[in-house]
Amino acid sequence: MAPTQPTSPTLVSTAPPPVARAGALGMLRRVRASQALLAALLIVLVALPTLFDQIFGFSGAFQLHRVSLIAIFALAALAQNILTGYAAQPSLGNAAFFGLGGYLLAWLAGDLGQPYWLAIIIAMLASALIGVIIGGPALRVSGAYLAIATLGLVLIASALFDLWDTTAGRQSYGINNLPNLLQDDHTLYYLVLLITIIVFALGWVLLRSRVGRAWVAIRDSEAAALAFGVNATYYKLLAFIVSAALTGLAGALYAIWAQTADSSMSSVDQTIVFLAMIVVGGLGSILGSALGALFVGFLPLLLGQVPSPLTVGGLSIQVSTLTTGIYGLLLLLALIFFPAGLAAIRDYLGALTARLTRAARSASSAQRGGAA
Amino acid sequence: MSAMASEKALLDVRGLTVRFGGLVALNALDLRVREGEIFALVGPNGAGKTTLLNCVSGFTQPSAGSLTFDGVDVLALARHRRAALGIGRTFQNVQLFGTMTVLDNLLAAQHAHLRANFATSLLPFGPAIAEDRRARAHGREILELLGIAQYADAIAGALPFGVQKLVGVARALALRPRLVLLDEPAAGMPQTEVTQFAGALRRWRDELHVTFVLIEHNMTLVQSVAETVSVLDYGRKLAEGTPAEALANPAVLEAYLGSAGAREAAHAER
Repeated sequence: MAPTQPTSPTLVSTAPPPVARAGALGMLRRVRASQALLAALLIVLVALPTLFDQIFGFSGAFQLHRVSLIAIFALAALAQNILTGYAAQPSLGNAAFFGLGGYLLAWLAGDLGQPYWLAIIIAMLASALIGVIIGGPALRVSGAYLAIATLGLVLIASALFDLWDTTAGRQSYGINNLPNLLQDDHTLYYLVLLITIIVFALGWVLLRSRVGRAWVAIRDSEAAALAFGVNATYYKLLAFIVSAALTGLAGALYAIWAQTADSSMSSVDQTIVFLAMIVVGGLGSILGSALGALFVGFLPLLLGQVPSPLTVGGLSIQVSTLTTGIYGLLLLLALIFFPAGLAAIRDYLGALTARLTRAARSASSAQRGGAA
Repeated sequence: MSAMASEKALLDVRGLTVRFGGLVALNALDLRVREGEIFALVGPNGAGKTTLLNCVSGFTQPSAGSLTFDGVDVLALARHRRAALGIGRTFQNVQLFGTMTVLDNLLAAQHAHLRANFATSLLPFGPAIAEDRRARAHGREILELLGIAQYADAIAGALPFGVQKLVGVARALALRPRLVLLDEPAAGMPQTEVTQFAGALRRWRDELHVTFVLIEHNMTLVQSVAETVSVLDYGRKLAEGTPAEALANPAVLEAYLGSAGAREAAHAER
């Protein structure tokens, strides 16, 4: 074969493929390693209530309650990620479905006395149905227009929930008849954990299937996706519906968790939290959805360590009021510096160590050169 | 060469006209591509070659004319329904699914033939998994045939441009197509490899029983591989025939070289 330039389209290439390391054996090892890691994580999650009781004593239940919230937010993050990270639809409307799920649960289970499992399922299905009705027209526009239109949806939902609360003469939609089982932090934790694990497992399979490939194909090249038979309109709508249903589920669980539904569930702040989770965690990554939720869950804890009110010069700042601003800032920083998010942290660290070793090596060789 | 190609028109273009504002990109174009042949479409930039391809894919709507594939009215079908007919294509700027692995690109290309729906796609067992396994095996076969199996697990967007172009061809072939439209496959290819590519095209045609329509500027490739050449200029067909016939046509020489060049070429022949 004639010698060729590295970029030439060799029909029979002799160049090593970029994933030479990931041979069959390497891949097997990687799969085994991640399976072992997953098993370890599951054991820790199942043992967490006992661990927390040991570590935190009386406040263990309270700490566990926070972890349940992280699991609920992981569901919402996965929902936003399917729509925005996989199917590439920059919709900001998920907070509307979060509130819808919460209010439906409060109404069905709290006011009407329906069983909680039924209320959760109906909240999910109703969100999916509204998703069909809204998604059809909303997805006719794309990019920034879709973002603005769906943000409008959040504002409308918020206004409607406020109106409902006002006419009913209440501040927020409190749930008074929560069964003891769901008031118990341990059972609530296990329930939320079970649902989150099931949803993430289903999501993992789905995103590797024909449907998941269609979403990624639309994201990577809509023209090619269409040319290879992907009905882009259908799959965008499907992503919207799945995302709405999952966010509705998360909203219903949140209302149980908080024992109340509140119009702030459908707010711009909430939208920013959903976005921050997937961008900081990793767009188009299942792992990233969980990591983003973990991060957003722990940030208030970190901020709690900062003395409040914080005095800077003559200014006195209430730290908790800064949370949304900090999420926004992190969103921006992640987009600029870490577009692949926490999910790709291994790659960043790998690149960083490579750069440092190279710098150290060249520094030491320069030193040796100077000494000679 | 015509032993390979039957007389049946697989792609039949009649009176196809495309206007972009005042510009006539295709002007009542007639083309007949026979099943099994390698058909080249040549012409200067702006002659309407890619416009024709985009009419087949549905990215451009013609204002007049018809386009049938094996008797089926292509223009009446929604864009995403055309792949299922067995029409694969490559893109001038490749347009791979860049974040997927090469093998997943070939799986995504088989979308139209797979039946898994949302419900079956949620299960880690059952028909969706079985059909994916078959599609994966088919994808590997195509990669083997094109000699790029070693890239199967590489992220497509990170590969060198030349390999990406080949993956683009592999993706089109993975569709189990009857017709493949190749948009400038030899662009940027070193001349030494063009003849190699020509041989490969013929081999793929024979092994996979596909018809190729080739949009190409590289005359070495056109002359060595095409059985029929159609020359377009300003949306009209200037000449058609075997490469030797079509490219020797005075109108073609004029379009390519200008009238002075055409006179010179005619002079040199004498």
